[in-house]
Amino acid sequence: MSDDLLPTQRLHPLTVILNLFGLIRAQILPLAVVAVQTFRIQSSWANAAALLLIIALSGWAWLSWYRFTYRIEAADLVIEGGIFRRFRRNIPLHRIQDISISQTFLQRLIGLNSAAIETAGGNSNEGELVGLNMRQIRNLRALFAGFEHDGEEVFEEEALIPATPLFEMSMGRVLALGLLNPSSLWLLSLVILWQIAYEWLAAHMSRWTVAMLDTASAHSSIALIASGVIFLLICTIAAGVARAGLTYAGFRLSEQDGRFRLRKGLFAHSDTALVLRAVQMAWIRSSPMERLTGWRSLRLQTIGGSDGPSGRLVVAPLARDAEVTTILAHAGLPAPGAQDWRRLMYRHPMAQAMRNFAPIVAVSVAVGWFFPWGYAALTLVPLMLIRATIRSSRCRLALNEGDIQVRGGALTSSHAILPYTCTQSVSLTQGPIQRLLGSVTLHLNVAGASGISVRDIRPDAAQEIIATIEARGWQILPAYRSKIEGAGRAMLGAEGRGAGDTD
Amino acid sequence: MKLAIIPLLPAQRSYIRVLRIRAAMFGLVLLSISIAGDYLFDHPLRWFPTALALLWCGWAIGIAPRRRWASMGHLYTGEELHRADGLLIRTFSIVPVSRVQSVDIVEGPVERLFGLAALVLRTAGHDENAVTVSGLTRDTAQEILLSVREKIGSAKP
Repeated sequence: MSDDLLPTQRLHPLTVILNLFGLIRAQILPLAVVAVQTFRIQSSWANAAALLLIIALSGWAWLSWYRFTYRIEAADLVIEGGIFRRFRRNIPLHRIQDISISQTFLQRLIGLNSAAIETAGGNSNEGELVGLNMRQIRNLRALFAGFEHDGEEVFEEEALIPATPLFEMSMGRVLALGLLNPSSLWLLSLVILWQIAYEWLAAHMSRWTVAMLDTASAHSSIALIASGVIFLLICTIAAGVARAGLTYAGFRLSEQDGRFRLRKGLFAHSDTALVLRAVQMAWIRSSPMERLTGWRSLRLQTIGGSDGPSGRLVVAPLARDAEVTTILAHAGLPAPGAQDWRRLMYRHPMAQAMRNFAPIVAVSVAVGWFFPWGYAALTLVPLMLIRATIRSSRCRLALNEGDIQVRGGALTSSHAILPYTCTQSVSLTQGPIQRLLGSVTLHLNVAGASGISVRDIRPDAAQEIIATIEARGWQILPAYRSKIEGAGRAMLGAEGRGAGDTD
Repeated sequence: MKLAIIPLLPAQRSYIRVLRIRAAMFGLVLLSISIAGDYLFDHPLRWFPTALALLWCGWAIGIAPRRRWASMGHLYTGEELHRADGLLIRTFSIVPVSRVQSVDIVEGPVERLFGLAALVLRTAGHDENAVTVSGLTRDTAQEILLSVREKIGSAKP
């Protein structure tokens, strides 16, 4: 590999603006104080000082752009930067899998991108180049693609454009996603906004209008409440649709050369690469409304984690079962489903009652002593009990030939698919309440994010699951296997019943 | 009931003393603060923090260490490391050696007094999933470390 493949490069000059905004955002409070003070004092000294500060900040932003370079040196991508604290990062080219591109709103305005260097098995944030235009990114991608093919440099654009998509979100589907997931967080802010608007109206409008509003509410309060509820319902649905549109408009998943390519975004674009070899497990989720209409969402977890919440990346926000199965097959994961689903949770409602209800009852009684409305919190108790009962009756686990599958969830149902070989370690924990009830929590630790945890299950079932993972996932020595089975028999003797006869 | 799926080896007995000394050191800080408060404030209940601190000391120095020790166990099979620990919240973990990404030996000052060491195994999972085996002799820890090192990350990605 020759060193002149990529001579020393800088980010796009417009990055200076990004840097400046970053500086201002990081120091927003002191800068705001300075600005307000300058405005108040109105002296030429203060103005000069403020001007100096602006120049210094711009200089700093320019300097940090100037000092940040990247180049290819002896088959390594070398990233250097920093003003006082210098840093230098070497990423071997053969470890670079792809570049993930994302764009914030500001970056989109000036036409720049952030490019994250994706490496095999490493941290997802190994190297990030913030402030490249698409031409620079295409050049880099071409370089890395060339290196992957045993030094044969592939500069053809066609090789970089993914084939037909594996999954796509049409506008209709984005709309459906929004309709099925009304945003309740926005509801609260709308109520507050309404409150503010009402107060403003009361303060600024004529007495007659306010009087009319009041009499209207007094005369037809039921109609008013009903129309208010309908209005809020429409708002939440509209907010849900807006959120879905902002996040998933133009969502397109395609597969190419052993990786998924994921593009999406309306105001903030992103183009994420996901190396299929790094995929550890899958989560299929559906909200109550989605379940009724037969929709699912699919998330994948990779070794290095991802920028998605909880280290998982949504690869299909709203899909049918067949589409989910297809994507899973491309990701090298088994389809959801098993022969033998077993019930897992044991005395879960009781444990939940001891964990959560006692504090709720204590607080509501204490508050209710002084204010009668405090007792209203007690209505939470049966609701949570029902939820715990549903959760414990829904939770199922299956030990397939090559993978573990866990279904669960009270409101939003979730379905996890984990190949035995991707379990990093397993553990059981038992708190005081669980010791009382004779149950344990099982944790299956997976690379990249937190893996699967199932609370309140029978110890013998947990131990059987562990023994299965040991036998099928970790390929233990035959001599040792007999040891486990012996111990298992001893344990079953002590427990007085078989581990396999749940259900 | 034991969580472990096979009988484990107990931790070194001297680890009880390590736990006692650690608790005593913390208890000393706690007591001196509460006694200072007793002198500085004039309140009918000013003795209460000191009483609480004494109670804590009694439990943490007198009762808890032996129980904690009894809950501890480990077994290195050459392929896996089994570990049990925890007084209030009991945990039992199995780490397959083929998944281990890094292995450390940690010796605190008190542990060093008794020739003890702790072994920390990390997999590619979350950092919070690091498994610590305390109360090993330095030689045992060393031995396991050497054996684990040969097989670090031997699983295919």
